[in-house]
Amino acid sequence: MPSPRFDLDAALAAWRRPLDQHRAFLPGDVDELEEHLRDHIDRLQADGLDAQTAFREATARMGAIVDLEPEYEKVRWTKHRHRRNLWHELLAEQTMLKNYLTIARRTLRRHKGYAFINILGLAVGLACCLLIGQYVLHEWSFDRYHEHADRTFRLVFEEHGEDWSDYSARGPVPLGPTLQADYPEVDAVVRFWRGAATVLGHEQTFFQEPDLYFTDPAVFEVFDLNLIAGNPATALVNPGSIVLTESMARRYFGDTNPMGEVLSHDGYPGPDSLTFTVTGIIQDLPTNTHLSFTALAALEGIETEQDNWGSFKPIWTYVLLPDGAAAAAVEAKLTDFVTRHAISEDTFRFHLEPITAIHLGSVYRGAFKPGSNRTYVSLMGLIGLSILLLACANFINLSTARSLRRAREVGVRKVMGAQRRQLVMQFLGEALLLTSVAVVVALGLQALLAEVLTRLGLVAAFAAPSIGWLALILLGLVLLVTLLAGLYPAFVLSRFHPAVALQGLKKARPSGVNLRQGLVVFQFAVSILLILSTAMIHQQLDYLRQKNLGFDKEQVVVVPYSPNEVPLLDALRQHAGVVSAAVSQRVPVNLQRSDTRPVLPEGFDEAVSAESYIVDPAFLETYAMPMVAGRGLAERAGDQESFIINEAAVERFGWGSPEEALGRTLTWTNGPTEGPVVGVVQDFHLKSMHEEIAPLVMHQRPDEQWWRSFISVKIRPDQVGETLAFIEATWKALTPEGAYAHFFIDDSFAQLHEAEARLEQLVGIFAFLAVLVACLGLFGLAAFLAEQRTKEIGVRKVLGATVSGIVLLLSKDFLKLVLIAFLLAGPIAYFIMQDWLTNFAYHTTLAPGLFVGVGAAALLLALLTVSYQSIRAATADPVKSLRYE
Amino acid sequence: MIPKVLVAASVRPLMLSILDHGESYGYAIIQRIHDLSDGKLQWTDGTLYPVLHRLEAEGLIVSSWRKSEVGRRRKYYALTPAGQQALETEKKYWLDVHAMLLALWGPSPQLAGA
Repeated sequence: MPSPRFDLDAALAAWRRPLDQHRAFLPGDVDELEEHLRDHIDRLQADGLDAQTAFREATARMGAIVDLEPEYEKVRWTKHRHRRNLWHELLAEQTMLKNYLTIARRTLRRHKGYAFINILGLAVGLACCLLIGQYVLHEWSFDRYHEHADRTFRLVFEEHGEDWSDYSARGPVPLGPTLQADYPEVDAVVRFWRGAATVLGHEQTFFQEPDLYFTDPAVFEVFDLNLIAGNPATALVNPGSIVLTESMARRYFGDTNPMGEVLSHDGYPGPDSLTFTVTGIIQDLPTNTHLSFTALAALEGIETEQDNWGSFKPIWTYVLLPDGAAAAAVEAKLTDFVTRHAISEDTFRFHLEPITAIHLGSVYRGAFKPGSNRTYVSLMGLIGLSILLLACANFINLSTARSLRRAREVGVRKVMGAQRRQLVMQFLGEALLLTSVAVVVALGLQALLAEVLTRLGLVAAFAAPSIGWLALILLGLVLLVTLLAGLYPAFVLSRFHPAVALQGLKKARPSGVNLRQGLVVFQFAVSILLILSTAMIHQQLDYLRQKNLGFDKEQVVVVPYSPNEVPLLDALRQHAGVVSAAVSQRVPVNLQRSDTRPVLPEGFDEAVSAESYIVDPAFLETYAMPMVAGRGLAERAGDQESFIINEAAVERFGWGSPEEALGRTLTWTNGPTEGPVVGVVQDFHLKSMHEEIAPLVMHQRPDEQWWRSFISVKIRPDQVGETLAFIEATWKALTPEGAYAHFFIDDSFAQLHEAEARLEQLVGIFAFLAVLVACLGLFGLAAFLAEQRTKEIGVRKVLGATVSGIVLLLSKDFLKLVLIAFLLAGPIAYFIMQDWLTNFAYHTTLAPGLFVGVGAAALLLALLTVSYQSIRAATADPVKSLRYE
Repeated sequence: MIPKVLVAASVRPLMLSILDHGESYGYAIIQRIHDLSDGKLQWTDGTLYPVLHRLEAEGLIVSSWRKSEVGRRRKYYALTPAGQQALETEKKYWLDVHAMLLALWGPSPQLAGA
């Protein structure tokens, strides 16, 4: 008789619940068994049994879970044996994968401190690596975005004399057109001529425009410039045409349409009557190009010096060839070209330089903007890789250290029938989880760091690599880091024999110790290397800042030349805040103008190349340049032919001593001017510290206008602001159509060494991060080892050991490692830095004190890191620690 | 009643043989063996499923879930070519054993001669 209260479905659900929760049964397995029961119960009911009895009989026949479970468990391993393929296993057994991740998650949650240190260390390492990767990619991407990048070349020039060489990126004016006329294989030629002392104006707005270039119409064909308005075929054809970048157009015209508007022009080259009509607008240039201009004007119509093949080389010439391979053929013909056009003696050479090679390490002098340095970029790449390795080393280190702790777990798993491959999978799963979290954290950190570095002006805004690239790089990184960081612990842990593992693995220790010690040494070696580099770069920059430049760079402000020179100088000189004021062609440690001329010293048959410097008599006083012999220049009519030279020139001309040089005759060839040397000025720096002080010839040309570029004003240190305001007001009043701007000479000097200052800060930041990662690792490791020795410490304390004795015991192993790291890193740092210093003609020497200081600092840092753990372990109550074990 | 060891040994050829007649599902297979043995083979039904799973893992049979004519979900098993081959091998073993036993027990010249 059927029981009215029996619910078959509920009974079946209750029956299957324990099976569902048992790991031996996969979901489908239990379904199958339930269907079997239902079939059986149907049959029994058909035979006349009531539902409850049928259920009882069927489940009894089915067997108890304890009977079924071992059978199912056995089959599971059979399945594994038959699926050898790891990938297949991953795909087919999502359940297992989920299981690994669950275990990983639980393990991490139980050991938060360990997880935190591991994730943070890895994240910092990854963020640095990403950031540096982005930087390296950015540097590498320069000028590759042009469609014809692979067949566009810059013409560069070499001139070799007996004991001098000149490598220059700029050449004579007629070169480009002549080349195109001579060689039909040249598809296009583009020339750039940078305007000098350019001031543009629109209505009452005037600005200095140092980045105005005169160029050929083919510029749109050769380079990828995004023309927003205007016709590329005609925009730069007519004389007086100008194409502006968006931001420049906005500066003059605001939101009104600039097309067809007129800009006034003052500057060189070009006829005095030149005015510009806007014929096109281009997007601002991206950051990853060696080109740098805010406006392009038609070269047509302003061309002068068309036949000058001589020393006047103001023009960059670019050629577009049919393909990259044609370069060698064209280059071969250039020797013949030189002879045919009688350009110069056989000292002159042309080369073709691929535009993609310009940014990273062109040896040719003179570029649109300072390039980068292949060595710096590879150095940064190396640093990035080292920090990544460091972070991975940490990960491996901590994981293997922790493996001892988990040996018991591994033992239990093995006894329960876990296979080695599963254990490997499980540890890799944990590594994957950690690295994934670390990647997310790293992305945030990287964005933050990039923002900070850009704000600090340490890096230019990167031309962002496309999302695909970034994703690919990330994926690669995650896999690489997981493998690197997960494989070793995975294999070491899974190798333990269960019997050994269950004993707690005291004896299996030594093998891991060597590796871990090696990793600590590696980490500290990299950190010490970076700290030493930072310190040494800092020392060199300090040296540069302190070095006597041969003139006084403080409180000298430079303003543009004003045509109303006389009243302006009078007004300035009468002001109480002004010490002295002078007009000159160039100013020291500023590369806006340069002029190298052939001069013929007495007793020479051939001209010698020398820095030429045209000044007014007040110049030497304004810069407080000391005379070594003779006198300065005077405002006497007869003094126009007098020369002042520097000590390097005395040496170069072979005139013995400065005193002996006085009275010798010198000919300044492009003038020409011939006259006696009346004074020798002490050597002073014209350019950066990378370059040696060159022979220099100084004289005045009061009757000529062309050289007048700058007015330098030496002001008193008090009331600087007021004096500056006075200078500006006076200048503007006397120069109604001029663009006022001023700069300080000491800023100019700092700008010359900006690249080095940036390097210092960048390496400093990365050194800090590397140290952080290394200390995190050391901290974790120390914590672990102190914990390992809890029992030993307890026993020692009970037997009367002092706290300091125990701290020393726990710390000294680490200190030994740091010492080894220092011995490794020291010499490497020394050689790298020695090499770096040879970039400078003037550099500091490496002091041993620096090494000692950095070594001591590293030791102290390691001691501090370790001591927290050591002291905690040493001061622990032995009763507790002994009970704990 | 047939002892446990023998039951365990014979389940495998029995199942392969049943599936050789066409695909079938767990309950039907087990019921068929039950009917054939006339209750002389005793087991707990649940332990037969792992045997099926093992055969599947070895690639001798394949399975698929399907709705039966009465609307119930059932996991059907079918023999693969490898399973066919395995059945042939099993058959040979059992026939060999059978022949040996027959030779010893039946009216045979060897025994008679001894």
